[in-house]
Amino acid sequence: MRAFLLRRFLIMIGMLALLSLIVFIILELPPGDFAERHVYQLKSIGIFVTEEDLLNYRHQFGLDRPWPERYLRWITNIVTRGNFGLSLIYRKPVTDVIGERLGFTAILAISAVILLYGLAIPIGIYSAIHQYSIGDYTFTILGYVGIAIPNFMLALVLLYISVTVFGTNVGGLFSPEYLDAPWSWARLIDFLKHLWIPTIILGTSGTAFQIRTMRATLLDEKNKLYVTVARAKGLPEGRLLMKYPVRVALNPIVSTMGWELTRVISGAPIVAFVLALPDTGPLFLRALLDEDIYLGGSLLMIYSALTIFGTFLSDIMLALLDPRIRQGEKV
Amino acid sequence: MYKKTLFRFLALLIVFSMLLTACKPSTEEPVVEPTEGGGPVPTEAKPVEPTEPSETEEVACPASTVADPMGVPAGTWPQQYELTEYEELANCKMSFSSREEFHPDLWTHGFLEGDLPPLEERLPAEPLVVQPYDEIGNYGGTLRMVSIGPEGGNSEHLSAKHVSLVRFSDDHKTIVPFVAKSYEYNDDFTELTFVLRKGHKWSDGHPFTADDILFWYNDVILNEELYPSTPSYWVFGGEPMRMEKIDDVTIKIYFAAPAPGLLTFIARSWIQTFVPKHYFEKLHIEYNPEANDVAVAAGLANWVEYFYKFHGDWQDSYHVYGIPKLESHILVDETTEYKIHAANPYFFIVDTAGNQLPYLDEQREGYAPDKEIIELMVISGEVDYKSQSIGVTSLPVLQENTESGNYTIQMPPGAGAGRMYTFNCTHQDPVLREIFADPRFSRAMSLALNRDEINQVLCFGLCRTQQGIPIHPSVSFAKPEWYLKDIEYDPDTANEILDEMGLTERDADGFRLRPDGEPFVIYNVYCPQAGDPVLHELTKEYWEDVGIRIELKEVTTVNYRTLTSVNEHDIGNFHIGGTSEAVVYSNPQAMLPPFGDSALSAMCGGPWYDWWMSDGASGEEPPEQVKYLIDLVEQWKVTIPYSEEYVSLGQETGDIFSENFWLIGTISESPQPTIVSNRLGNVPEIKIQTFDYFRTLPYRPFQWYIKE
Repeated sequence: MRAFLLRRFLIMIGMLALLSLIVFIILELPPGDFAERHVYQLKSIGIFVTEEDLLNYRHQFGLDRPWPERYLRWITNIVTRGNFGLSLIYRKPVTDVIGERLGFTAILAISAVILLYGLAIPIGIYSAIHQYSIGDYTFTILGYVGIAIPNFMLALVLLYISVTVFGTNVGGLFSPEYLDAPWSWARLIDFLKHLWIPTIILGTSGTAFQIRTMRATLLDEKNKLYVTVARAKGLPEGRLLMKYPVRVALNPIVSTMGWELTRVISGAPIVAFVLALPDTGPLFLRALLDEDIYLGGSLLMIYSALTIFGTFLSDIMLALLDPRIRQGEKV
Repeated sequence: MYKKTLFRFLALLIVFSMLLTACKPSTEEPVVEPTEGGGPVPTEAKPVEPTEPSETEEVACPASTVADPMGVPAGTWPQQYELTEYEELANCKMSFSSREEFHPDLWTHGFLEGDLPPLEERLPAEPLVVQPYDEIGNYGGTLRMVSIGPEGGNSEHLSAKHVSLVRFSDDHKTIVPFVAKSYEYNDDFTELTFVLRKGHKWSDGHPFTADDILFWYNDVILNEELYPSTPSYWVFGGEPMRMEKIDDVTIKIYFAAPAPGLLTFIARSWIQTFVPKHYFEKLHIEYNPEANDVAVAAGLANWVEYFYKFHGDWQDSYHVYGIPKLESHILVDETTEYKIHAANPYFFIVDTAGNQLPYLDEQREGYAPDKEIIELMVISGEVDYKSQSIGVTSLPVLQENTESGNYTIQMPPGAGAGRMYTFNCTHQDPVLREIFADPRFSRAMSLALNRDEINQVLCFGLCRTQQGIPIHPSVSFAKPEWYLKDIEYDPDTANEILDEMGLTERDADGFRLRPDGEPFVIYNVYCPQAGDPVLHELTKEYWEDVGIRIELKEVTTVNYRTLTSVNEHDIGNFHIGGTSEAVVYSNPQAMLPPFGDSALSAMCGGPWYDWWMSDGASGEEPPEQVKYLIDLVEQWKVTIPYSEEYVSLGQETGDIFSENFWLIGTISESPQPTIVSNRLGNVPEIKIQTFDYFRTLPYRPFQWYIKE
């Protein structure tokens, strides 16, 4: 087990180093740069800007230096002092910009993940056991409809309901009066009032998929011989189900949990954008659109690191869950 | 008894002096002028205090407003006075007052230390006195604004707190003193003098002097590391202007060629012509040899990048607390969701009652990345002022909710020249160039357009249909016929002209062929940032109706720019922004090849521009009338605004455009729905919604206030 972990860990570090280079190159690829975006923004509000303004801005942002030089400084600063560079949009250290949003991102992600698996696993089990029943069909239809409706659309509908029916204000996670207020009971209530929409949307967006996965694998498993044997030996149906086929059927779900986590944390940017959520999603989208390579690059690095780390966690969990994997490693 | 007499006397005096001042502007008869001693003092009052000559100075100043001047005559400048000027005209002595408390973060963020000095020490010795529009406001409240994101070009929030040496008054013509106390050009416009206010202070209490302007120019603009090339705004007659400090409050600027447009530029520009020297010295390599080490320790390449972390021309680009400012409100809190600016305790303007402005405690700019969210916020009354990014298409829903949202919608016009087309008159293909450079072709293309339909589809019929002239109709010398020429929908004449040009051969689909028999296909490559692509679909239809085949292709802004800057486009189709008087005059880029703003969105004539800029070394020699145009604009640029010469040269320029059809106009810029909350006081009618005069600045947001 220790060798397994060590090997996985070393691979993880190597991947990260390689990733950082790829991330930077990808962000350098699109034509134009932040200076150009900036100049066009000025232009779009009716300000005349000249070619020479553009060159001056490029110089101000240090974008007139060759990319390998900028990459080296960026990565050296990350490794040696945890400094992810200066965001071009916010003119603040990237760590400050992201740090501000990390707390809410975590809260959103955790509540969404809880909702996601809290719904998907029991429903998946129910559907598998009661295959082709009315309940199964209902959940299946709901699930497909859920996949078919674009998330941002659902977001707008729920937003409309929350504004017109519940009278909360538009977008964000707080009413304006609580936005910069210190934490209090009233602020918490206000926060929860706003939290349900993004939680539902982020949570349910993956639910249908997970239900189908759970249902399909469980259907495979529950007809296998070991289940028949267990049943023949007189195990009570409930205990039998949980102890054997469900445990095996969880395999694919657990092994993708790492990705699911990243997906939720990166916050389905469009949804977060529509709801004006203060998580990292809109930040990422804006950084990409405005070609803020340091902010965008750092976020992409963090997402990638999370995916890699998530996979690492999934591996460990799988190893704990399924003895075949542990033993496979030893061979 | 004695007190009563004195009181009666004072009251009488006030009434008397008011009557006098009230009739002053309307008469030229030698009335008794109110003198320093207090004017015509009633004889029976004299024995009361015969030894006190300046008795009337005890009279508090009348709280006059624009709506009710209370008999105070107009001063040198509209709606504002210098302190001594107001005291003289109103015959009074102003006493000052201020809000009791300032935002606590001004201290925690390192602007201020300890107790504030008394108001008299915070105000300049010569504060600017402004007349509020409707009433003296009360202190307090937050101006709630919203924009799509930090630095999304959200200039209206910027304008609500902006300061500059001079600014435009709300007639959009008069340039009035602002941070500067006065300005003066010499006779031939080669020298410009600014006088500052004695005792003016930065928001940290440090004196603001001529050195801060010198530092901005000599050590920032002229520093080759900070600006590898000196921006053209500061270059006249081929040489950067020269600046000299006369004394602590006087700056003199010298130009190698007459520069009458510079004052206009300073009044409307986003660039602030001063930098707090005492703060930036330590970041500047010439003042602090260790500036580079500081930058490297912060993870940046050199002092230049570090300097720009704190400084930027665009005043929204600073995100660091504690930088000394002169603005009415200064940054005290910023997150990725909002930004809060709080009232500056050292702000230099007072109202006519002597209250230090601004009235508003805070300005808050929230970010909502999505336009629909912004609309919803407006409707539910969460926004006090909004105009940018609200289009006419949102009008129905906004009008429906004026009551629940508690706002009023104003519809001021914009100042842009609207959406334009150009057929590339310097096309690389000689056959196409010959066709496109022929004004007859552009005229035919113009007649083929159904502008009324375009207006209905894109603008609810609220725009004006017009021809393409890069001069706004509101400009003083504009001729109405420029905008009306050949804008009627007349496809028959268009067809006739095209036939007459020899484009008679057609292919199997009925499209015209080139004179050499090749297929004639024009590619309209566009980017969505230049405006709603529906326009291109409409014009494709109109032009194909007269046999000209158009292919549409959507690209990104950057691709479009690349295409036009290397002169590989068939059609130029960018929207031309500000063309109001102030802009065309101080920066007439759109009137010269390539008829956009230099290489950033060339319409046509890029090679001409290169030829002109390189003195004939590269590019292509333009035809005679283009050379003539360039000469004309160069001459016109140095005329005195509104002079006879200015008008005649300006009109000639417009005539040349009208004849040559370098630009084909469609519809004007749409009116800009402007949301003003009903709880906001002292906001007048906005006459024009544009950055050309710095958005809200002519309407003096520092005297806006929250009613109730």
